[in-house]
Amino acid sequence: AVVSTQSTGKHQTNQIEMSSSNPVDKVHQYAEKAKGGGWSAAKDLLRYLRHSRQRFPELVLKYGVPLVENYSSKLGNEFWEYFEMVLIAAFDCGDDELSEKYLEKIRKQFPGSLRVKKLEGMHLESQGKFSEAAQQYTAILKESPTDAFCMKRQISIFKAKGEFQTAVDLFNTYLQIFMADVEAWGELANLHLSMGNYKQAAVCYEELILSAPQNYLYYSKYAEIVYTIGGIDNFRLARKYFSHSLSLNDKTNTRSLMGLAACSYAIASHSHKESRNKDEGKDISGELFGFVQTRLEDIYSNAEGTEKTIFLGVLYKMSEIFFYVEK
Amino acid sequence: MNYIISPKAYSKIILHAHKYPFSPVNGIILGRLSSKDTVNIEDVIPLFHTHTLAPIFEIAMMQIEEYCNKSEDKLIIVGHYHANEILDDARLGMMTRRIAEKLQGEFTDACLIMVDNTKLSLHPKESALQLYTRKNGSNWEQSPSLRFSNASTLRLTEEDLQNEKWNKFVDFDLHLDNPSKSWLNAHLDL
Repeated sequence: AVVSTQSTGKHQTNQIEMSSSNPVDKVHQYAEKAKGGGWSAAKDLLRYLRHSRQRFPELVLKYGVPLVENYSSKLGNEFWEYFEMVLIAAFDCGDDELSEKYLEKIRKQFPGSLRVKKLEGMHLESQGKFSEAAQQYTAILKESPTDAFCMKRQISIFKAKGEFQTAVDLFNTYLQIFMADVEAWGELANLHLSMGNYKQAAVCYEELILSAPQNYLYYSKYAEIVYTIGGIDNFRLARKYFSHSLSLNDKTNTRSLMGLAACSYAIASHSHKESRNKDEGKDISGELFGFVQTRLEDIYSNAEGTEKTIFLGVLYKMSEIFFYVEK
Repeated sequence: MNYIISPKAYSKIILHAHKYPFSPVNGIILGRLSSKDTVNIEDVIPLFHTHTLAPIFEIAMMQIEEYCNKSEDKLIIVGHYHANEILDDARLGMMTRRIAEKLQGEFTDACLIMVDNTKLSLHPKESALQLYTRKNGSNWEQSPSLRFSNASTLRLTEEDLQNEKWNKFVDFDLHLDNPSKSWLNAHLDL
């Protein structure tokens, strides 16, 4: 996909609606409120964690256990959803005692349920009993062959055992069937990155960009990956993608600003050495670097003293490369 | 070559690993050559809880070098630490090795420290770190030459864990999401 760069002269601010604080900060805000006590604040925290799909199982246990044990009436017909959420957090934290206790309760409530069988599988996983867990999922898949959840759990087991290549192969099979599963593309990308397979990771991010072309994060990550593969063509490609990411979000996208600085610098260094396309080093990269420098100086004006001095010092040293590229 | 690690550096590595139990974490080790056969590890700069990618890594390294140049303590970069994502995975990843090898270009005795995730605990009884060294372009080998500078190191780390200091711990990734948060972590008072 060809992505157009934004001219630095007229910077367009195609803002997606961004909340004032980032999701992780929000979790801590909700947790602070829950600390003050009260079932309502605890419920708000758990609800936010579920919606934002963030993984803080220790918080779910801390505030969820009192919630489901003492305030079940307040949760009404959502009770079992919250209960399941706390149970899964118990698996995540390796709290065997709580897991057994809650599993027993949920088994009694929903005898023979397929959903409970999946929870049993996850419990086995949390105990490191991977063979038994895999058998559990295989049994469910016999009854219900298109169960995506169980397929993904099986892939996770291979990852947990460190058998990354097998996990990758299974992922590829899975994604041929469930090609719209964004979560799976993201997880496969991470697997490839951990194996140093940058080209394959880039392909995953191409799929993610296609699935959500308004998501600034995907462009930024894609740019980081192609830059890592390296070479002048990839530096130019990365520069386009960082720029596009900034056109989607220029308020809370420091990574892309830094990435763009790195690209401009890398391209100018390359041109400098090779004595070819000298103008490129001075013109586009120089302008982009200037834009980035201004934005970063603005952002860092609020930063702590030492880091501000360090960072602005680094930017200044980098900018020198643009002064010396001659026509 | 002997490597002696300060309580502050040890604690920071452990806090970094505890803060992100579901991700790989890594960072840069700072210290000085205090004699011809001793490297003192004084501090660490925590970098990422995502898989390391080149552009941000390069910018971070420039900042760390600038920090070292300006530091009154005359610190230099003496190594790289890394904790794998999977609990019992002790492999040295390609990027991890490459970073450590690159650091050896500037400081020949730059080391690689891997976190043994299986030894992480809220009540630490033993060091969770494994030192790797490399001579003359050969492979990275495990080395027993890492010691604590202070006998109370594990107890001090336990206190930091009890005080849940990982909550306010900041690595470079987190700093990029919120530039007002400081990757120097002076606010942790370690």
